[in-house]
Amino acid sequence: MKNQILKIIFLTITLLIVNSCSLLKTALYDQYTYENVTSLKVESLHLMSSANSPFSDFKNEVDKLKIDLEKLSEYEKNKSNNEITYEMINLIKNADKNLLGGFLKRWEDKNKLSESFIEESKYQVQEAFDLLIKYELNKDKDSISNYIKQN
Amino acid sequence: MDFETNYDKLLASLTSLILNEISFENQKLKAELKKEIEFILNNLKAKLKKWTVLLSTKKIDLDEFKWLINSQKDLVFIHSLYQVGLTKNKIGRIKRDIMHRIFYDLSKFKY
Repeated sequence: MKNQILKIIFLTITLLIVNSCSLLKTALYDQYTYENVTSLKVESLHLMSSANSPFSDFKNEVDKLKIDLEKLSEYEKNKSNNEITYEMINLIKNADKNLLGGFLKRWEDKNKLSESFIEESKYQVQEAFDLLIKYELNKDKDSISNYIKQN
Repeated sequence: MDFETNYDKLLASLTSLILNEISFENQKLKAELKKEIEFILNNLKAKLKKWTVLLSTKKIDLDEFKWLINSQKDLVFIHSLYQVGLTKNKIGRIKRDIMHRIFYDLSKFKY
């Protein structure tokens, strides 16, 4: 009888913890996301360096970059427990904010941007991408079930 | 007065202004927030100094200067998302360790 009660207590505690874990779940590390973000960072900074030339000369490259950012955003949106990564990407690509999206919009509006402004903006965009990459690398590599099996 | 002195004065007054605006019952939370505000403002210090020089030497215009300040605001927001995510991951891992311990004990227990 005593053992039965103990078993029930153990199971109840386990269920409570499993339940509270689901509230704290974050998406697992995703190699595709990591590679995509790293590649987009390099492409973005490279393209930003050309902003001292007329926008029209680079319109196709800018459009391609915007589509790639949209694709990544859509991919991240559909992953469960991935709100933080999704929000970070949206801040970077949003044309109404002052990171990559805002920079590209400004380039289009002004046609050409000054060297110093380009350099300073690149530092800002680079920092934003670095945080996104660091956050992806910090995610767990294995699921809970794998974790339990391995231990 | 030079930039450093001016900025340090601004930093101190901004920190106290923000902390006075929000009432805290929890002193530990207040101290943590003070540290966070100082980190944000100190981080901005070097950039602001550089951007001020660029503005005064006309390498960037006022509109670009304002744009960069706002980009820092967006960056701080991304940084806070990053911090929240790290904390969430850390707590999640601790909970999973506890869960693992319970499963382990359950499997060894003589029913």
